[in-house]
Amino acid sequence: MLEELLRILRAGGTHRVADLARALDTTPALVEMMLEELARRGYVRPVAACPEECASCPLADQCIPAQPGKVWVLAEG
Amino acid sequence: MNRPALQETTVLPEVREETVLVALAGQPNVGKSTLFNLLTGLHQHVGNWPGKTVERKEGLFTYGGVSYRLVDLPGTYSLTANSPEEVIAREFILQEQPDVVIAVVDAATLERSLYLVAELLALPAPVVVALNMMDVARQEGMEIEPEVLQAALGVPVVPMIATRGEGIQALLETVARVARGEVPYSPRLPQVREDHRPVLEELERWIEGYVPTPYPQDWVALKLLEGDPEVTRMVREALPPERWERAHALLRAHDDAQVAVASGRYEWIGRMVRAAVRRPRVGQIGLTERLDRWATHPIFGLAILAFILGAVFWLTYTVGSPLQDLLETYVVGTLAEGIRALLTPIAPEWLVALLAEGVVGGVGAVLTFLPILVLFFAALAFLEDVGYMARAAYVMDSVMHLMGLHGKSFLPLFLGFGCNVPAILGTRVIESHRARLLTILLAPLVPCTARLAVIAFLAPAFFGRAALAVSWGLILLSILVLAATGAILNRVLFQGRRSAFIMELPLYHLPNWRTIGLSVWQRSLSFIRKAGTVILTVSVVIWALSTLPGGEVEGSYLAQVGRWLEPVGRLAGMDWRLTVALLSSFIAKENSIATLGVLFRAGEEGLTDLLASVYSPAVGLAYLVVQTLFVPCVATVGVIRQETNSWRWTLFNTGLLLVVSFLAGIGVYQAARLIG
Repeated sequence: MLEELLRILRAGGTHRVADLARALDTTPALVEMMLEELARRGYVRPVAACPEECASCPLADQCIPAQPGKVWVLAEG
Repeated sequence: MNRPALQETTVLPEVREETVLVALAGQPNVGKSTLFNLLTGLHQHVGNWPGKTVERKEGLFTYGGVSYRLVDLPGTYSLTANSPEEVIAREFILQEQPDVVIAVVDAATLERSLYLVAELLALPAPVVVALNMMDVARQEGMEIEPEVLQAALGVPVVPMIATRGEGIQALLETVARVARGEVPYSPRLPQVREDHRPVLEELERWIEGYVPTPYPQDWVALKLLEGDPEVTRMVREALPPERWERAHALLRAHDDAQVAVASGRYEWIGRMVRAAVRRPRVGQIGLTERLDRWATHPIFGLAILAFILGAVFWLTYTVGSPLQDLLETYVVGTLAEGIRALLTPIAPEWLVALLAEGVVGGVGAVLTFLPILVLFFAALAFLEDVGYMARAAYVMDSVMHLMGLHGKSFLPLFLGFGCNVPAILGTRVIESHRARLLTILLAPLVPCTARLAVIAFLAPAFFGRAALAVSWGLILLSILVLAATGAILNRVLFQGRRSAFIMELPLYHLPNWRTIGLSVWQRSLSFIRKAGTVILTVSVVIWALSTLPGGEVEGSYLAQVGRWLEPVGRLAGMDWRLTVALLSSFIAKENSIATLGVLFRAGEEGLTDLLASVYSPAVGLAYLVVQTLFVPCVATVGVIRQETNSWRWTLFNTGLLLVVSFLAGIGVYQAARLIG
């Protein structure tokens, strides 16, 4: 199932967890777990809503869309 | 409560010989401790696992005349040697071989809990699944069928609600029967994908006869295939070098097997959940799905986003503009008059002018749009809090892909609606240098709140009732220019490689007014602070430059500089005042309002009325277009330099935005004049 998920991700594009769950005939919770597994193995990378570098940003308080849900990207290379 | 009869002694070393050893396993926060306390009561001993700082809890209880020793294993999500807790849990089961392992499972997050169960089933100890938190699962609309799960897993499953003591007797009875060997135990284990099975078998052949006791050979082979560091170290030490070389070569040749082993477990979890769980079709998740069918639709989603943006501006103008007028007339006007009346008899004329025209005219003009900003911040905070912003991001991302932009770029760009500085800092999430550079170059084209505030102030001044349409058009223009610039630069800079992007959209929920209030408060406070520092300083400097040397604006130093630049501005219909206002926005975008306030000596008479009487709508529109697409503020340019580490790219970006903004402004002005 992990391999199938990776295959879908490698085809590119933007995916919602719910859509991936439908494509794999499983639940969003399981897709999320698989993404965490792939992140542990370095295949995908979780994107911090506000990157660590923003912690020291004097404008962090004003940052409007600070929490747009969880986001992952396929690691390059 | 159905607490079992407790043994009287609390001294654990005096455990009777026939004591049944039970291990309690589970991930954190599944109610493991509640169950442990419920079973053992006060008969507990807390210490540390040997050589570790991880807490070890064990306790005693009796049930049906039999004594039980219960060991609470550390909370873990799996049994791979990723953490000391995971090693402790599996080593205990392997070394001590408990009579029964109770796997505490959270029914509401079954998938997550089952991963650990998948690993426990492979160990040499019978497992009883305590399906806890059935009430929470029910509240979330999930229907779990324990008997179906039991049949699918091949091990006993006991539904329970530990916090209420429900299911404890059934659990104890099941544990007792399993310990006595009365329950048929045939667990259905996750399978390794078929093409990797020969590898597993070959691996078993290489390690056969060399696996230290009490480790089961098939488990060791599986863990080796999975790349478990502890097991790999153990086998390397146990095998003769030549055997290890062969086994190691096999593992190296099949390193994709690591994913395959985990994949087998996810497949297995998926099967269990499909069999035993019925998901909610109504309620919150159902509502989210129904709303998302529209909100994330490639076409309707964009239309909804455009409508919502329009509605935000409509609300801002309908409620905010009258408030701003009131502030302008009654607060700023009265304040300027008051300063003149109070100070004229006692203070020098220049000081009165500085305070009335420079400070009140500049900072006061900026502060009058506080109601507009508060409403705008509140609307955005509301959209963010109910969960819509994530949808907006998702819909915009699809558009960016269509325009040839990099998928990863949308997050930083989206941050740009708040402020361009964090947007540019946010590009650090992009690994590819060229994609990051492109995103940095485009970020200043996203209209930040300061720019939106300037639009919100000036659009009603120039266009009255049509302000809403104009504001909406300006934002659309920014996005279109961004997309077009992105598409062109993308083609020139890099070949638009597609990258995958995965988003988990949060559930829609009712707004939390406290969160929204706090967000509005913080942003407004930060705006007021800026007005009291940067904008105040610039207002005073602009006032001084527009007063010196003779006291008249027309003959001032600023007028001389403005007139020198005027030929460029004239092409877009802008006189020297607008040109100077535009330039001052380089320090902070709001300064353009403050500068116009100072230059028009706005105080007693409102700036909006003055602007409407001096400039035609064509000039107003051209100015707003240039202002929207103009070079960003100095803080943003500074961050562009810092993040690109290149003056060349910083100057390129500044030049690009100068050209783009003036070309657009000139185009709009000339077109507006032609149309009349």
